[in-house]
Amino acid sequence: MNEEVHWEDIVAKVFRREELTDTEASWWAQNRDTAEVKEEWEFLTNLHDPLLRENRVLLKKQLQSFENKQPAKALNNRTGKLRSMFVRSWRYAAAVLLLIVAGVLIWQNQEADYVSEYFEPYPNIINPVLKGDPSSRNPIELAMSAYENQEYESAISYFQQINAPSDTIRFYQGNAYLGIDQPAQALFLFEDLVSSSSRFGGESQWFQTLSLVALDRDQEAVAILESMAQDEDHPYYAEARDLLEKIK
Amino acid sequence: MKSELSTDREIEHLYLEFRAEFLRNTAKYNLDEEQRVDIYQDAFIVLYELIKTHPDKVEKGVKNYLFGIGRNMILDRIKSEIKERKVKEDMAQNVPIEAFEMPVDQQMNPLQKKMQKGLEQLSAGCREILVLFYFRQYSIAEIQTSMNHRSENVTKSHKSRCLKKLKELVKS
Repeated sequence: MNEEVHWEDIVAKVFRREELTDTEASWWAQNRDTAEVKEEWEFLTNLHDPLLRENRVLLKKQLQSFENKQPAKALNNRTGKLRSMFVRSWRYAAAVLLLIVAGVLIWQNQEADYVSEYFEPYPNIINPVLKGDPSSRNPIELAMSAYENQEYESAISYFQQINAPSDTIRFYQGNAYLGIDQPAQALFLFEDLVSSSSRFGGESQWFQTLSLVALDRDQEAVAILESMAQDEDHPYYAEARDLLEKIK
Repeated sequence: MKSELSTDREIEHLYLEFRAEFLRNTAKYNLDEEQRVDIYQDAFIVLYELIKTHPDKVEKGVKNYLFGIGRNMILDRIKSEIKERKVKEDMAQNVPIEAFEMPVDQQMNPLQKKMQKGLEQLSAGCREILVLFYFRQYSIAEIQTSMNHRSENVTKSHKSRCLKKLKELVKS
């Protein structure tokens, strides 16, 4: 090992609780008590609090950027500001505003229609809903029972209690998010499922496109739908072709 | 839900997971949505720090803490507008205020104060990479994605340069 180049990296790895290679572990055992390493360790330890404060600024900006991704809110704010500006002026402006608002609403409804027209929650095929004492059921059974009853908020709260949820659970959780009109959350889950080649990969791809459409990210949805529409074996081949025709 | 919060996506996921419910539950407090979003973000930052520094304190569950901290913050804001009564009643019924005492910043030692001054003199990119690597514990690959670097090697050398520069500033 070239100590001059790498020794700080080993200290950083230990500091970050990363696994060391055998060579690194051996180096650490031999050198951890040297003045140089101790000084580096003290530096990193002391750096924590200043970085914690720095992180607040960074994280706040990051959270604000998530807000900018919320399409409905941005739209509502814009229409809200427009409305107050025009209402204070002339009748003509009010009429124009009404037309604009009507146009926006019609456009929004058209967007939403695709999702409500095509979204059909995936049936519960993993866990038959049990009868009897609900208190004896585990979170998976409770979640799937709520899911089957279309009580999606309640289903999501049970899904969240499941430790290390499987791909299957995450797939149904994504469906539940779509069921309560939280496409950003649904998209997060479906994108992961598609990229991890899960059992529900094909199905997830379909729900991923619906989430994208709900988020007004039609171009991305179209790209995925086009690939689905070329694969006759895809579980949502027909739906993809149909929706593609309408969106394009 | 347990989360390491070691990627931007995990942070975004957790942020959005409870956002709508928080805004709905706090609509009664006569604060506009922008104010409630601002409070939700501040509560999220406190929660994030708890997860990173004292994960054992979040035993009651992430949502419990997030909502508890958020309600405390709402109380603080409303106090200044003399609208405290309704919130206290609500809190008495739901979440005990004492259970969610806000963490207090530790007093920094002289070395840490120098470090903070040093950080202020670094570029925004340097500050960000040091936060992501040494505080958030992101992997080099995740930082590369987050900061749009050309390669992991660029990220690594950037990180090393920034740490070296900070050390120089602290020593000077």
